[in-house]
Amino acid sequence: MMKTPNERLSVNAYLVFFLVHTAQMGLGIVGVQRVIFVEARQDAWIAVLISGLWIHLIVFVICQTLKLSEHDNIFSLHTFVYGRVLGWIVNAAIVAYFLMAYTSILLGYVEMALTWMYPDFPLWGGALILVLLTVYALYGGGFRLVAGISFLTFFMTIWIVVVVFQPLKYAEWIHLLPILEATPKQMMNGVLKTSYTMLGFEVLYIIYPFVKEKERVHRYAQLGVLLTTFLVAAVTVVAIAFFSPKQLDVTIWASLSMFTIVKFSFIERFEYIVIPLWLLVILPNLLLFMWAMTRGGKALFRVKQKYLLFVFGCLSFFVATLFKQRATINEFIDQVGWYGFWLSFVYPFFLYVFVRMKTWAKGSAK
Amino acid sequence: MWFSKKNRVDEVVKQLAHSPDFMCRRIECKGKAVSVLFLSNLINHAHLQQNVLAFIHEQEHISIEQLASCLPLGAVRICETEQEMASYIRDGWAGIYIEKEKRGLVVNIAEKVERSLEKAETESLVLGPKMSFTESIDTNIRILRQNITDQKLVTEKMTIGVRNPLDVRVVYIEDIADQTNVQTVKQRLAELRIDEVIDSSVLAQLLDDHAYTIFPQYLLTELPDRLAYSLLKGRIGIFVDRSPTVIICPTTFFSFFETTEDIYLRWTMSTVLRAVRMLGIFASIFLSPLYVAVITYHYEVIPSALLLTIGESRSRVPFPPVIEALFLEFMIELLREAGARLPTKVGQTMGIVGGIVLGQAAVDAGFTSNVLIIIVALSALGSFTAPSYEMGATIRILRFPIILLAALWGLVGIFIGVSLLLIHLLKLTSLGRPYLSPVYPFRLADIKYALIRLPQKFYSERPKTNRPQNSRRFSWREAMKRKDLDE
Repeated sequence: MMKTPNERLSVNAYLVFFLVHTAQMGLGIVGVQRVIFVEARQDAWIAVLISGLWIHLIVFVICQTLKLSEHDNIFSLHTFVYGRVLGWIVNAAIVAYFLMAYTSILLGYVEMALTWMYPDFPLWGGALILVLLTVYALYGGGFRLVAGISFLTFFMTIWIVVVVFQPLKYAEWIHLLPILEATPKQMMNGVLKTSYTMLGFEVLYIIYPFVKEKERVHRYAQLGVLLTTFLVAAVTVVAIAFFSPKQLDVTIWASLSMFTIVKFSFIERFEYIVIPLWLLVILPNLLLFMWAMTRGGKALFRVKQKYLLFVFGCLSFFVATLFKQRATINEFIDQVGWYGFWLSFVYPFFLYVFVRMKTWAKGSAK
Repeated sequence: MWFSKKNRVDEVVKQLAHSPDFMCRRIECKGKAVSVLFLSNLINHAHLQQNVLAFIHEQEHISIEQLASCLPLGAVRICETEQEMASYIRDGWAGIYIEKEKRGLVVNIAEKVERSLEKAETESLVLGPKMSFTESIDTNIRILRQNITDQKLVTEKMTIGVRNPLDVRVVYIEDIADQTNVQTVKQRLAELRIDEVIDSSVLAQLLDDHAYTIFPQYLLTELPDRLAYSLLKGRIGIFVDRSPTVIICPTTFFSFFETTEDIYLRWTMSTVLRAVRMLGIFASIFLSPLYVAVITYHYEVIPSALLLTIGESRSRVPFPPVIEALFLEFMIELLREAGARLPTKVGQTMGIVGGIVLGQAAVDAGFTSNVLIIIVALSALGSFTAPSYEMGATIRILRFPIILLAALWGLVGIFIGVSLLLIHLLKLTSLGRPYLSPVYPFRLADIKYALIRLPQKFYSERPKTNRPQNSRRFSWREAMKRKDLDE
């Protein structure tokens, strides 16, 4: 079992809000509208809300699971529930998932930046810069730094929300009607497609021991999720109202395309500001996932986190260089979304039941 | 026995023999030989004659004990060894040996050279006290004691340096300053193994938490009122002998952008002025990189009307924007540096003439565009608004790597720079306390100290960032009591 971090390393509970929210916010929100719209048409925003509700439930379950036993993080929970060998394998799978999630964010951002702004720049170059940035941040930084980055970048980027209202001038609200036309199956698919955008709250499983006031974690985590759900739903509604259905079907980065019409007296193409700024949005993502990986690696191999940092950094860079085209990157991101869906949207319930059974069995054995 | 005592004087004489101003005055007094030893350049001769030599002559019976108790001087000490005696003499004391006595006596008749109190030069203020510290630690402590009459003021003495010992005083207010901070400072000072320290700025570097950073971690000030303010808010000051600047710690990033004037001005003004300063500094770091990034990669961002102006002014420039920007920035730095090295009067003329002539000529010759001249001038101005000279220098240097990043990857490059800066600042500590406090770790109550100003009645608590033992200044409830209309 891993040692519980001491007072000096832990953070205040309110930071959970920023950690959970910034972990969820990332690349998804830039282009989520089309993906859901293709499935659930004008009811896409309802799919977002359903998925949001679902996440609120999961966050509740996660917090309950962590309270059940003295094991307060997912890695020691797994060893506790499945035993040494099987637990090790499941933990390795979790670490692999974080590695994939990290790489997908890396690739997604680099690919977006290259497509919009730097067509000639090599993909691996962008990936290398981001990996180096992560490694520099975490080396000597640790969890307090991750929390600090999510806190600061939140305030440095949240103002973009105000700008989203500018395209509303051209909104056609009729696009939203008729409401609730989607069949349950369409809606289900819509919810499924939202998952990649909403992923990230599973880091709760790992940051939990680092929070000082454990009893307030749940409240702040719920608030973080609430804000994410609200923002994703808002941009979806705006995009549906702004674009015609046929347009939205082919607009990959709908949020960015909406920004093209945003104008200030001193800035003509606002999306050219947003894409670089988005680095600050994905930075907490990258740091959190990399940090989660090293925590997992420490549980797996009992090696110092700072050595694992380099190993996982190289590994994710290597994985990133395997991809050459947009199509394969998209497939990869979809794959990650799929794994993420099972791991974060479904598995927590099972884990809760398993831990419950195990503690019960242990209690009756005594 | 008598023989060996005679040798004690010779022993001291031998130690100081290489100083031509060393004097050994032997006087006969009541049949005893009395030797008075001193360095004539260091002492006050009037003192020597009236209070030492004349006094010895008047004595009926003479011995070291008797002299020690009767000499009409403040600082008198009895010395056991010759080394001790010699080191006192080197400090400007006079040593006295009496024939047939084992021990010696030293009296302080030193006259130290110091300049008079002057107006602060590097941190100039419009309002408030103008006096600045001087090079003498005794004068500085005197100034401080005049500023703070609190009985809990502690001035602890420490000595640093093996070869050239330096008097250092750690000052704090006992029931306000955090004891952990005080311990850390004292421990770091005690653990210094070094042969000499030349100035407080060097000591500040020796005490640094992080050596590999361009950000200063300790505040250096020459203003007594600033030190007094910091001490009363729970910080610690370090005086260093022979240095007119005092180290204040622990320091946060934002304290480098505060001046005492912010407190003297009305809160509305100082809030606005602080915002102007912050904006200026922000612009100073990012304006030229933005120019480089936008002109090199993303001219689509510029509105078409503005694009015309910029395009026109750049039409004769044969270099890429990076070269242009680096050239101009370098020129400004050169002017500034030349201005700092030259004597004051020449320096200013040099700066202005050089700036205008060189700038105008550079545009005429087609080396740079007008727009860039404006930008570079603005960012130079911005960097001068930093109240701390150290932070100003940091900001000037910080611009260059970001210009390079902007030249490499445009706006994304700038944001990579921003991320690196954020990460770096989050990692920094001063005396083990977070550097970015009160923004992170976030302390809402301290924002009114660091970023904005509020009316005085809101300052009922000392800033939590300094972890004061006693945070209450006055009763908040009383200050906020509302009165009815006709009360």
